[in-house]
Amino acid sequence: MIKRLYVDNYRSLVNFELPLQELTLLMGPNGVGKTSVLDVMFALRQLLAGVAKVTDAEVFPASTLTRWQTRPLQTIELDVELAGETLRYRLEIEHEKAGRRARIILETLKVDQNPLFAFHSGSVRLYRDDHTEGPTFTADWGESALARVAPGGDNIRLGRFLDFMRKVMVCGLYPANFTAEASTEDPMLQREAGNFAAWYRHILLERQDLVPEFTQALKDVIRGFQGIRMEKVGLDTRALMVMFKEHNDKYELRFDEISDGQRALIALYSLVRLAAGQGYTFFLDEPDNYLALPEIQPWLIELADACGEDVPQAVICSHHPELIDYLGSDCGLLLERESSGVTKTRPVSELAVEGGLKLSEVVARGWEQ
Amino acid sequence: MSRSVNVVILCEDRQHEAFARRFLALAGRGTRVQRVEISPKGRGSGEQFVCARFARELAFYRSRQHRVEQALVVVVDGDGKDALARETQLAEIVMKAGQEPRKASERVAIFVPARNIETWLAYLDGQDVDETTPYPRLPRERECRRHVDSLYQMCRQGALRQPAPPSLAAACEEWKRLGTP
Repeated sequence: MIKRLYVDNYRSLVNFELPLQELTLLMGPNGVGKTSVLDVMFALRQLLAGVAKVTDAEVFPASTLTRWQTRPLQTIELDVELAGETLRYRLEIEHEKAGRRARIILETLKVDQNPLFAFHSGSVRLYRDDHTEGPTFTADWGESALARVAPGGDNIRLGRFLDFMRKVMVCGLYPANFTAEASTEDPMLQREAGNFAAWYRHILLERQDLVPEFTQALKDVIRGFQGIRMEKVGLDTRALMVMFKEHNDKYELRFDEISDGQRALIALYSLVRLAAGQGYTFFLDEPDNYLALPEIQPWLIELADACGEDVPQAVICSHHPELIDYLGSDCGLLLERESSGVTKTRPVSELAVEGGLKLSEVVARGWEQ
Repeated sequence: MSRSVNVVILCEDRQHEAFARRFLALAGRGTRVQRVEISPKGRGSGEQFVCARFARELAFYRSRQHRVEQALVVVVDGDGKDALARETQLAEIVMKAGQEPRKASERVAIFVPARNIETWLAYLDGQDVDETTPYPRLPRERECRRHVDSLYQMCRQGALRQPAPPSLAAACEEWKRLGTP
């Protein structure tokens, strides 16, 4: 699991340290950098999955440099605990003054200060798991050289880190863009989960055994819900069909015909019920959007139960009182912008609170400042 | 939505919540935890929170009991009181709030671990316990699963291992109030 994220010179995040637990709720006013944390994680995932270059719009373009500074260097550091040891990944990106080009000037992976991988000034040095030097080669400055390394028998730790990062799922559900049809299986949800049908198709192949429990969970929250099936609508294309039963009448709707809230519920329960045990780490932006009030806490309970077991880790950004009241005291982290412009974090448990008030009420009154 | 009994859990802390939810998941066929009202961590006594909220939750329960299938589960540590004394205390609070005492027909169950939930956990871990000795907390609340599983097995066999803490024996009787199959 990710123990710490350090970000410097990325939007509002300057010299920013974020400690993370198995389940963390990021709270704080708008503009303080909650979504930027998720964007950094998404950028890292894309980079380390080898599917994006450093200057791609969704990764680290010059527009992500902190505007009130003139430094051209962005730094990201990630401490990840895997198999009982902490791996530290460090990435330094230098942007040209004109803003059109950027290059990775440093990319390292270490365990206990001992190197596993180093990319510096265009040259890669590989290390074996016992830290003896391996081969060197040159690499493109515009993308992650680490992502290009093929895991093998003598760099198991490096491979473990890459596997972990490639299962970091960063999502802010936007159900209006969910499509019903999928012609392939996709192992990762897109940033807004528009490819939900393709991901569902993938996850179904992996964990067919979990479908009955998943279906029952949705029966409890969606009126008349009976199940989901995939209907063949083309040579390789299948459409998600949602089956309902009302007053003994059975009917089906395509996934893009049900309501936004129902689509969001199906996606959220898929994350905790179907993706269980797959090693996904979730970063979710306002998962409460589109949900009705009685739907929020039951899902949250399921997520909290799964975290640390079936789901290694989840980080949630939200302003919603339901999330603040249920998770805030135990795993809330308040992001605050200091007068210098720097964003700091403070555990919500340290807040001084008047007796009898709910945490959400404290926040609503602005007393968390 | 399937016709399950929506359960509200009113409790002091995460250990209470984890214990109650796990037991309901195993034994509460036809129930579904809809809401957990839990004392905010580090903000005063959990016992005071439960006692202060009980009358309000009971009123909410009564206001909807003919329209929604629901149940109220209360978990509050004895902390020096036995189950009967704690129940009497809650009954007084209810009466002070101008409400009628809890009726046998109401799906409102009050569980009072004495000395506290850790006593039950130690017993379910196979230890001989008494209701005055303090027992250690679990490192993580969710680790109570195996303890609750053990309780569920004893319930299925119809008897607690003897000698059982009197508060746990009382809880087994209290469970019948929920009317689960």
